[in-house]
Amino acid sequence: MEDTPGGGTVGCSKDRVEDEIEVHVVNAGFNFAVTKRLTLFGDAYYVHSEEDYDRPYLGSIKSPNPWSEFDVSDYSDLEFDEYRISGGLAYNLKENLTVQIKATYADFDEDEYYMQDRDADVVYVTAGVKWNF
Amino acid sequence: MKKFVFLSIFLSLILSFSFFARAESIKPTGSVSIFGIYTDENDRLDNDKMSALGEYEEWWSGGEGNIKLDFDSLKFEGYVRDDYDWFANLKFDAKRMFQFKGSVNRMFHYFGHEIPFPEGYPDYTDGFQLQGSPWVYNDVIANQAGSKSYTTSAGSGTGAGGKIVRYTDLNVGKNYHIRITKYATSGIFHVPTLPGLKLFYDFNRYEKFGYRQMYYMGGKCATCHIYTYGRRINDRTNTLKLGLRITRKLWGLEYYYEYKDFEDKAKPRSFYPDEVHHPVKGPSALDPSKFYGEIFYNENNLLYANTSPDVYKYTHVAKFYLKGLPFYSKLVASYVYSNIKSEYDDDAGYELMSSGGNFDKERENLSPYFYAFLISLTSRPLDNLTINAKYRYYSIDADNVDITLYPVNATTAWPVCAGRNYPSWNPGYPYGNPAHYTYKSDYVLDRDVNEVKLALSYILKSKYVVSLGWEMENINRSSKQMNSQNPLDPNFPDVPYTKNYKDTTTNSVFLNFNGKPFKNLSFRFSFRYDYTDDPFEFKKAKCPVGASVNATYDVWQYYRKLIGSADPEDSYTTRLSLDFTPIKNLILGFNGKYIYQDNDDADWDKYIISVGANLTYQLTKRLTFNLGYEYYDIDTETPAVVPIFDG
Repeated sequence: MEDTPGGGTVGCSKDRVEDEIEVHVVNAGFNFAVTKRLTLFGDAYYVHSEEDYDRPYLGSIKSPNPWSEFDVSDYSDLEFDEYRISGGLAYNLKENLTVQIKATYADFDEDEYYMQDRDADVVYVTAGVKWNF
Repeated sequence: MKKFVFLSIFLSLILSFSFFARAESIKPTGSVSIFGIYTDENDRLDNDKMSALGEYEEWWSGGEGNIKLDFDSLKFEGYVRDDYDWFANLKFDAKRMFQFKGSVNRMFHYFGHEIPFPEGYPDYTDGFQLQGSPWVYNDVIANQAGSKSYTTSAGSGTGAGGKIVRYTDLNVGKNYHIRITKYATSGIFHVPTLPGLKLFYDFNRYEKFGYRQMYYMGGKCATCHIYTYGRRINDRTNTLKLGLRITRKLWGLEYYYEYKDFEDKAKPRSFYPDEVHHPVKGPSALDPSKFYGEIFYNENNLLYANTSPDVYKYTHVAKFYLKGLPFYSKLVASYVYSNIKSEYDDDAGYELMSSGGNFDKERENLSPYFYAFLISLTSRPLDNLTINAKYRYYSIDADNVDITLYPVNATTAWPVCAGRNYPSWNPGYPYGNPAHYTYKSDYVLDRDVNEVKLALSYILKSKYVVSLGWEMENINRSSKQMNSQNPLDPNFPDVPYTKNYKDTTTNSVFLNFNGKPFKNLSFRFSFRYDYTDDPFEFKKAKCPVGASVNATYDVWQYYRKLIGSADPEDSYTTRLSLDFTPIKNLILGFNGKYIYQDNDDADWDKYIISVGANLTYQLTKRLTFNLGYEYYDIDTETPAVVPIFDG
């Protein structure tokens, strides 16, 4: 088929397409009791995810066509990296009373995206006290 | 239903605390913690940050608290994160005579606003004006490629065509979110005067509340003007189970009644569709602008978008087992009966959908029923050999939907078309002859299913367990698919859906091999192969290879001649997991899965690989490391048939 004729008609095109999704996840952590009272801890988490979609050859679309700029595979080709790193310390004020502080950095980086590029990062701190009885 | 929940929780709490007050020890063990979270408040105003990083995790400023209390017979655990996430669990055990569990769990989930075009496509956004056009649009998101000049608020350029696509967000700034709340309570009461008799109940309630973005097509403009608005989410599912269980030395019996419902309380989006015009508009005296009943709805019908029916399900379950038979055999039998009602809320105006236009639909609501019978025998003829044989039959049945399309006189309906020479094979009727027929649509889940399973399990040297088995499932469907006849043929039968689906029969073999060859090494291995003869498939799904057709939509539909199916013919599944402790302070774990599926008739294949490994290492008594890695890969290859409407 060369092109569609216009006037409310339909053409069809057939091709083989392949879609592949790959995800890698790595996590690591440690816990270090420096003294009887002081403990350091930390963890890291990383995700890489991507989807590759082979665009079918749409031989029936006129070229240039109204949507020639528009590659449908853009919707399905996705890729992002996300990682979170956190670290903190816990200190035993008494045998059953612990204060803890932890800082976390999270980063989300989209290389290929569905609609909008949502690159973002945040830092947040968590602090508090725990009482065991 | 709410009254029942509160009453049961209230009564259970009274019972719990009355027993608890008499308990010897009232001094609990446990913990209490309070934490504050701090972050830059401006981050919370950033839509990207909230939707990319805040979808599941509340990292913004606030507070959280935990509490754990453990009395002898009463355990309580609670967590609160502002008003967004919290849970409370309560367990009570009154000397095993009465056991109660109750929990409430709430989760907050944030959604962003989605603009339905990728960034960078195209450059024009606000104030788009095409050369020679008096119109200025503020919401253009795409434009036809061409040679015309255009101006926007960002400047001017060339390369635009006359067709534009617009997008309007009708709820700019609306906070899209969902709040999910789960309530669960269950209790078991051991009747003291009748040993072996237990009464039990189980209640779950699942609520979803909030707003989400919704697209809808309101009329003929929808193909080039896209709208989104905030769709209210307000639905709930209730499940109540009441039953009794009798356990004796050689036999047991259980019966329970289950009621389940789903109700969507959100008012759906309503709108009047645009007035429909015939593509060949003529003099008003002939009034050719309308489709004369060839459409299901017109501009006078209030329609509803994005709706869900309410569902009610009533189930009876009876189970029986018998022990003490020869070869340590155990016989299990069960019977299940369900009656389901699925109906639209009358307030949503669904009565409109069955009248008007040129068609009638006989049934509004769906009322399928389900029943199943199972019998299973497990025997141990040798000390290390176990045999299991199982048979299950189930059936789903429902009324059909009868739809009648009334004939339309094309010459009267489209007088302006008379005498025109397009299309060449059917001049005067650009959409072919108007179809009119009556068809009976069987409920697609209507079916009879038989399942058989045989399995052997052998214990080898007290270290390994080998299991071998065979399973067979046969599905006989009542519903039918469209036959091979051309719907544009004037002799088109009154019942186009006449082609039966073939039975779907799946034969499976499996092998499980688990063992612990050494004190510090254990493994689990399994392999399964499923072969499906005539998987659920649609005979007229795709164009033939190399096909090309420039024709009306109906004819193109008729041109579909190849099988389409999303179900596999062959499916291979292999799993392996290992736990290894080579030295005292090192723990290693591995898990892997490989699945391959294909369907030669529908010409597709797929594989899934999943591999994971983890390590925990205690370097010293004070320092511990952990490390983990997971890999997941899914690959699908299939023919794509792309219909292109060039209107």
